[in-house]
Amino acid sequence: MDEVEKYLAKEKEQLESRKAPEELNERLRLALEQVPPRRKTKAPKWIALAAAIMILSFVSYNYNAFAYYGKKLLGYDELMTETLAQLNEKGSGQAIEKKVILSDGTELYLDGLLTDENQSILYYTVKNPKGVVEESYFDLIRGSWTKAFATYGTSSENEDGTEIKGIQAFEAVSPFAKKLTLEYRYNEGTEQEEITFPYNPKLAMQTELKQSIRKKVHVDQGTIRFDSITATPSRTTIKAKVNVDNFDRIQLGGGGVQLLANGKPVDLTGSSSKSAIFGQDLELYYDRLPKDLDTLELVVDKFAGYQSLNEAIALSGGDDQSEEIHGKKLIIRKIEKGTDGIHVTIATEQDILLEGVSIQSKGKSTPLQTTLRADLLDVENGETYNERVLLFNTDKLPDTFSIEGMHYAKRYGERIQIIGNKKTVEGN
Amino acid sequence: MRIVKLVKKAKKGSKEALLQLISEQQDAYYRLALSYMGNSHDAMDAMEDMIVSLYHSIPQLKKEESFYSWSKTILVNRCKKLLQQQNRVILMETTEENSETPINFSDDTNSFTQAEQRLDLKDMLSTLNASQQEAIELKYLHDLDLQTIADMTNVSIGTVKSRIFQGLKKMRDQFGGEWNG
Repeated sequence: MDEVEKYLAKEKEQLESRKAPEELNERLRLALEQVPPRRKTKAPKWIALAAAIMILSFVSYNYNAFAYYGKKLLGYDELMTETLAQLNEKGSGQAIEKKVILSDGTELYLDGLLTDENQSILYYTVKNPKGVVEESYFDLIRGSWTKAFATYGTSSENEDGTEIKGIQAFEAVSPFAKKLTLEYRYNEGTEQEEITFPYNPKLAMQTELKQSIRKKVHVDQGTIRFDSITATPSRTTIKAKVNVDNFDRIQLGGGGVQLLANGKPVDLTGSSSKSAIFGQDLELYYDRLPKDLDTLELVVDKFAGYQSLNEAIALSGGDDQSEEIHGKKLIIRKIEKGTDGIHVTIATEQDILLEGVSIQSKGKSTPLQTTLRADLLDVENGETYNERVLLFNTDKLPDTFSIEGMHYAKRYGERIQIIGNKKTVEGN
Repeated sequence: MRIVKLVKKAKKGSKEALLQLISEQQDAYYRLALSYMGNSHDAMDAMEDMIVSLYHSIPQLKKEESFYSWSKTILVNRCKKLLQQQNRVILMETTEENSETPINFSDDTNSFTQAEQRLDLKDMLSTLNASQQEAIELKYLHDLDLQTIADMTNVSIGTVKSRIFQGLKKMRDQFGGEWNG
């Protein structure tokens, strides 16, 4: 240890004599007490399964709209959205009231099922006095003409961890199914239980609005074709076909498309996209539509856009060089020599994807070979940055960094009137 | 392991478990916050922010055993945010001066010499740039490992190493001679 380190060690000793004030513990307790209990959310576990059937990406938001029938369900208040709570209040849905005891002694109660043309929602309770098993989830519901995969779910656990109440959504079940079988996976996914129960399709909720849209919107790198809208008491689904280059590469999905009912935005509750022939199928999920509907309008507010740049940035050689390109921030975190070439670490806002990236050293240009790593990092002030490590096949440290263009979340403001007489702006 | 158990409980939403986890290393958190905030009042504010944030984000914590480095990273982020809100550019150098309670010299050397030495260290650190200073303080005064420091300061381990190395070198170059002589 040298002198400097000795001094630091001494300083540390000094610092260690500082103890937290006695009131700290109480203050922390108070701060925590004021926080409302957290909702436990489960990510859809069917992603792996779905990937096998060509589904490339799925975004799910864990707040949603669903309900239940036959009788009013108790104990789910904390999990329900307003739409859901209203449906529950009305007693929409059907009771299942089925109990299954799993091999580890856990009791699984299926309390009720709410179905409509958009989705199916299962209400369930898991109980175990020794503590509820973690890592359990629903795979799918099957029946005649029915193979409804689980989509999203939310659940909450009681204080001592012996009971979970949850809501799990699935795709819609067929109106021809009289019997449904639910596949439940537990014990870290190693064991499966199948539960069959009768189903009455007549108790499914009526679709409130179903209409084709057939309108196209042009964006920088292609088109979005809006096909149909299906509104049920639990949800509103817009189906679209997207034929846009790199649509999936920026983390926006359908998040920038608004549905305006009577001029007011309807909450977007989720979206999903899967690859299809000539493009991608995109579904956007919104909350229930209001009862009295005068106008209904789709607004493509933000969507994948492209900006050609052809910029060369002179590299300062230091860490964290910050640049502004077309109003967006680009940070060149560091440039270093690796055994496999030059590594350049850059960070951008997450909805930006750079294209045609290369580095130059003394006039000689080297194109990007591959991206070694990409991480989303939360930076302070609430923004998320995408940090990537780029590999270039050269051993010369670069003096410039060139970018041909970027994909980003662009504001379009294109409007499509679905109901109402306002002027329609559309593509052809 | 007890800590892992507590983290699991906290993940399930137990506030009590979370409080217990924090109180296990209460002093270390406090000292870390104090280094950034400079006074006890703001340090406690930062810790309040931290615990609320932990409660919300703990389900995302993948490795239970890394709870402490993870939560300290969050604490440092909260501190920086608070400082930003207060528009305070100074990073860590004001720590001891602004302290409300006088420093308790428990050492057997007399307090005058101690104060002299402390001043020296402060001087030495003040010659470094803010990020070198931060890296050195986090490593030597708060005993944090390089990965944690990297996470806290949002840079790679390599950068942390280089900041520490360069910082120490600068301190040695400038002050080493006098001390060794």
